[in-house]
Amino acid sequence: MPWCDDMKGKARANRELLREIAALKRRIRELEEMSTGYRKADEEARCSARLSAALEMAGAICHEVNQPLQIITARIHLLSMDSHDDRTREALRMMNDQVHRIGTITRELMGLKEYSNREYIGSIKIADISRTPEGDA
Amino acid sequence: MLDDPNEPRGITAMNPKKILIVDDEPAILGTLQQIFERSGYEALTAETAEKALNILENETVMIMFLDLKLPGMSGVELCRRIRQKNRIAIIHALTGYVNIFGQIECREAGFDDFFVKPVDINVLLKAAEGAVEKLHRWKVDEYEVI
Repeated sequence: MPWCDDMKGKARANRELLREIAALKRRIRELEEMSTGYRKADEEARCSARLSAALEMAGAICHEVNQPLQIITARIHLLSMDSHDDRTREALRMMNDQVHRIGTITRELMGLKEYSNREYIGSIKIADISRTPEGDA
Repeated sequence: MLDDPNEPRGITAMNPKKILIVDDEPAILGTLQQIFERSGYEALTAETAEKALNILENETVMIMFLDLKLPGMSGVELCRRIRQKNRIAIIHALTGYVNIFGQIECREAGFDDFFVKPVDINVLLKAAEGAVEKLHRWKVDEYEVI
């Protein structure tokens, strides 16, 4: 009967359509996953580039700053060898402590494992070198 | 110390408190030399790796402090060259910057220890004292070791 054939044809067309819709949904999901993957990879690449640049800068700062710090601490030691006055020795000890305080900052820079920044003043942000990376003690 | 021509070179040429400091920064070199000499050491100095190798051609030095960043040959390469002839000497690296990869390279080149600047002078003096004590315990001065 013609109406029966017509119904069968429509049902077949519907099934075909549903299959196509399901395939399209799968494809959309795949594309969404790929897009998420690309975004994640892009973000990781940007983080890696930022860390790499920060490490290079840290290396340059450490090298340039630690040289004069070494001279200062050595001169302080020499002065201490000659100084027998308590006030002078105390002042030299304080100066030496401050040199080593700066030295500690440069060591933290050398140990940088991830890049992050923090609010400084107003809209100014600075690299957060004191932040302990996750998983570290 | 005067050499006695009748004694073997390994005994006469070695002053156990002779050290070599290599750094391209004259102020560091001069100040460390003064400190070590006032602490009883004979401190030889060189501003480049090449000058250090020239010194070692004529002197037996068993304790060294080498800066890693030098003009021309690096401190790491200098250490490798020294190790080709002297496997016993105690060689310390002094550096303004080092990461874990640098530390591995230092160990591979033959450094015994390394210090990151600014290093406390008492720590350097202690390292030198420790090296003197080790070399004495190893009886290095009794043998022609290099």
